[in-house]
Amino acid sequence: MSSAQSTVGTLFFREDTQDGYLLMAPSGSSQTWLMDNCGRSVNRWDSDAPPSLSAYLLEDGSLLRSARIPNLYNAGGSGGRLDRYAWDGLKSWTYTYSSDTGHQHHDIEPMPNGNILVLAWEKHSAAEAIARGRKSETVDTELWSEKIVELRPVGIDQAEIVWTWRLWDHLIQDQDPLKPNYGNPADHPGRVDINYRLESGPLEDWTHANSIDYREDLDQILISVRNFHEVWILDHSTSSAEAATSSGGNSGRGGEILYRWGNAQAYGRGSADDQVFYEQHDANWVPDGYPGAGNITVFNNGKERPGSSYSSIEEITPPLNGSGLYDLSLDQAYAPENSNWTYVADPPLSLSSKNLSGTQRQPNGNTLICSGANGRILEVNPDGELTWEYICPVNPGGPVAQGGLPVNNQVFKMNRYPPDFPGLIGRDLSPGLTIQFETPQPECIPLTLYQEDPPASAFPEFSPLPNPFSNRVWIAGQRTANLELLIYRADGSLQHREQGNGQGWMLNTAAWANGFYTAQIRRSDGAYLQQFTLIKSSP
Amino acid sequence: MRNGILSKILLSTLLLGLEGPFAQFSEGLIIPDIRISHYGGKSLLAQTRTVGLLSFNHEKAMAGYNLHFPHNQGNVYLLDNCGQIVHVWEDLIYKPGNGIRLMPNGDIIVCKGRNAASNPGLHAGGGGELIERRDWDNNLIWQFVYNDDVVRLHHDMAVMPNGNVLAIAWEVIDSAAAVAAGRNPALLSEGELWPDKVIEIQPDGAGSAAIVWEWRAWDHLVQDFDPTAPNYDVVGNRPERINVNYDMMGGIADWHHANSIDYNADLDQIILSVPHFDEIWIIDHSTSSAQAAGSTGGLAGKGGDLLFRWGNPEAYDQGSAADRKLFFNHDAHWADIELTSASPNYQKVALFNNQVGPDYSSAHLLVPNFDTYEWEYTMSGSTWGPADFDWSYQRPIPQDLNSSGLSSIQLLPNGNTLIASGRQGYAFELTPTEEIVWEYVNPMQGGNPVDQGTVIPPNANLLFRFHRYSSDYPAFSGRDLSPQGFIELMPDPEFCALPTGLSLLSNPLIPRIWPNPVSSDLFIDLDPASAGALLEIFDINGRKVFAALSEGSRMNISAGSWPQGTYALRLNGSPVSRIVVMR
Repeated sequence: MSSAQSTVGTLFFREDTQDGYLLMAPSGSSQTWLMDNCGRSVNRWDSDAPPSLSAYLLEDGSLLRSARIPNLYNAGGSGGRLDRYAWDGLKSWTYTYSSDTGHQHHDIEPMPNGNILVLAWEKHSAAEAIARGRKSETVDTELWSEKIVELRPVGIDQAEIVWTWRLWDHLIQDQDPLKPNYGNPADHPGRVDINYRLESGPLEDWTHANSIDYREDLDQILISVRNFHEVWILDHSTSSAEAATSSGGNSGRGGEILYRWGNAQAYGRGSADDQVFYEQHDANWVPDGYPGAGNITVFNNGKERPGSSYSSIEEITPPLNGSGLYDLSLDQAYAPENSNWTYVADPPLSLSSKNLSGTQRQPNGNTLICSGANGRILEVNPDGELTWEYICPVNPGGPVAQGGLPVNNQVFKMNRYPPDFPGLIGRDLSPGLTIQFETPQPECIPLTLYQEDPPASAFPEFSPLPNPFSNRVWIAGQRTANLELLIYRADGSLQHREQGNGQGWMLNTAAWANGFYTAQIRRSDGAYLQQFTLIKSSP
Repeated sequence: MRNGILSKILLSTLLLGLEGPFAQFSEGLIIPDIRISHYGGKSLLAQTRTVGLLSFNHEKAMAGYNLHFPHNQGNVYLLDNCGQIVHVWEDLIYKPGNGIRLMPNGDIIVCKGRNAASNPGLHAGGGGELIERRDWDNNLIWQFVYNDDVVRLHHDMAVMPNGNVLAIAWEVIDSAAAVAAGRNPALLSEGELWPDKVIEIQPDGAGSAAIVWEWRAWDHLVQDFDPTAPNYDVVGNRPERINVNYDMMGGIADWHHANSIDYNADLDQIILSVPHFDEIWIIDHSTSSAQAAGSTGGLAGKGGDLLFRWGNPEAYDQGSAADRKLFFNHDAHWADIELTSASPNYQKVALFNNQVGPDYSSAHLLVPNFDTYEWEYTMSGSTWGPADFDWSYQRPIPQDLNSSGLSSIQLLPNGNTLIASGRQGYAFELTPTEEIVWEYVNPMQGGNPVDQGTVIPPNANLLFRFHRYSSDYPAFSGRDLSPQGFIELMPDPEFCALPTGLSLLSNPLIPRIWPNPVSSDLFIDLDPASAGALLEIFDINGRKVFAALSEGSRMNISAGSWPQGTYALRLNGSPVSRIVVMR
């Protein structure tokens, strides 16, 4: 079981990784960590329940965290309670939101005014659903519809619901002219087709929204609706009464969907060929000042994507016009036709998460990606190069030791807070131990990037022989006199450093641990010349 | 000075004729030099060891104390690794009934009973009567009796972090009620059915405890026998339910015979070992009792329906006998006592597989595939994975581990594994490389101590389980753990301290130690070639009590303050002799 090579924690860390602190709430754990890029804990909050499923650091240094409590909704992401903890871990507020008419699930969104937007399920009986035009063979005993409530925390254990939006108020159906909301869904893109589904068999958890984001300047809400394979934008400037109708608010359209994207089939303006999202997660607006500001980034899980179920990141630019509305041509689907940035791993299936997962644009333009089902978090730069990689070491029972293999280390999503995030100002952020048990604590030095492009002709190429290697490896090449060889372990720590003094380097590697290494050859002035991967593989 | 080669040969010869658990003693380990007394130059020929400590590799066995609660008598013993008694909770009335736990504060929580006669109408193997908590000094803290005409505790309990206790009990369902629930009347050979239930009891602070939660197997049935009875459905479509007519035992009343229960506080779940179904079951504990009777609610949203079952998919019509993995299993639990999540085996399911072979048993680890997002155990097709065990252990000679019932497995914090073969009354400790480094045979035949050298037949010195707690377990802090002798009669008190597992031949410069046994001043005469050697003395739990570099040819060490007992002397890191302190 033991392995000298890292299996968990920070596996790769390049110097162009975004600075900051990552909030990790493993989906099976009652603990939540804030950690640095080396995977060292800088703060930890202990709850009595696993998350459901998200957690946020607030601008006062508090943690706002959802909690899975025993409940009557049997589905992934089921929650029911929100807790707020001060930086020092003391619970300062708790509120249970769990009943047949509203049950917190998946995601919450702290708003600038201190209120909290909550995704919630509400139950409708089969009879109610059928009366609204749901095909009877697609509903068993009940159907769960989506609802968004805005909570204003009161005291230590109360909240006032100050705003509500219900999907149930915005239905369309083309099954029965005698039932309400009869019409052609293609003519009503602002409404939700009560019979839209791609799944077979009855499923209570009909729409399965799994993320919510809020944009203050537009006063709009963005949600990811997994089972529709779409993201939706809603108007939040309405009153609750207006939100139940199709008029009012800045948009003048009440609680109707202002924009939807990812699967135009869902509103009858596309075919399966037009579907981009496959059970996507974590739709977010890119914040002001960040590269891509105003765009929407989405983790596209790719579940049952035709051909290959790889996951990808999609960044789209919605057709926002000057009135805060989204342009839509007659009989067309919402623009854009394609994502304007996509990240697909190489090979594509090396990023694959059937559920959970998230993505967050970083201030420096990199993109943080959480492959939730396998607890793997990575960051890539705009060219798709890996800058950082981390494996969550936390099982439901706690963190494993370095070298161990966590089996239930799922993570819903991970957000990084930059060092100037207000909630971090004035806090003691000196790193503690890595979250995994590890002795000794590893060195954590980011890999240096090259300082200039390698001059193509000025230096000879070096190549390792053999590779993979066992007890020795020869880094073969000419004219090493002014060059230096540096070999890093997968966690970024230095394995070997040697000046060149002849023809290549002959290294005795008998004592090296099996695994991947990165070799760099640099000029004496530090300029990067060449980089390649070495693999130690001893029987 | 003697080096003991001759005596090793003698002992090997004596042991060659032995079979069963003792055979390992003559194979895997260097035979300890048990005949040589190091004082007076007098050689004492020890008897052949058959009970108590059989072998002990001081280097590799985990230092600690063993909780020993043998059948057919009432005392709970705490034994050191030599098999010496260091503490006893005496009980002259009750007998094991069956599980026991030593709490970090030194209390025990224990299942007790008497025998069939105490409740003849509701008795089967494992029948209990009460659960109680006693402090280190055997004062009763609370006692909960649950044993009447319609319910009876049996087998096991699990202590929750809040001090509540989960326990297994039978409840009587009469013939008419069983048939009304769809039981085939032909499968009621005793005219009743005793399905299992789980109760959670909470101490009331006044010496007793009250039931605060319960789960009943009877609330989670499916049947395809009687279309007019409730829960009529295709059994294979309802794996979360218990088939009223699944039976491998000739329709006896003791339908499930759950024989172990454990609690997982991280998941708020319960695991049961159900040997009459050849299965383990996991159920939700986050429900209310009302939800536990139904199929909704709780963290998993499934009420009291089974969240996971494994070992015999035939029990829910999703396989045949060929798919069976468990055979009258025992002691299924999440490995977590004294372990941390840093242990690679933390919270894997450990269990004992009693009847895996016709005449041998095995022990296993299993990793259920729990999805923290769906909060469910992922099914692969129509059954639950995994396809096979994570780890399996059989003895090199499989029949050396053979217990058709009882038995336990415990993962120790140092990475070793302690296995008890209940019907052989035999416990042994394995290293991660499966080297046997400690062996003990319960020296009580029918509950009465026997002489060292007595050969006890199978089933006469039963063990339900056998557990070790490490030396630094909080229960032992500040306790008087000085040895009080052995359970067995005619013991060989000098056997233990001798090194096993390391060859004496590698360290020929064995010093002369005198007097031995010693009461105060101890002298060690060294070969001049040993000058400057590192001398270390350890107590029987591996704690170092003395260390110095040798000077001159004679060391004078004051042992006057050392507790009585046996100690091991090491020279340059190699065990060379034992020292007995007696006063």
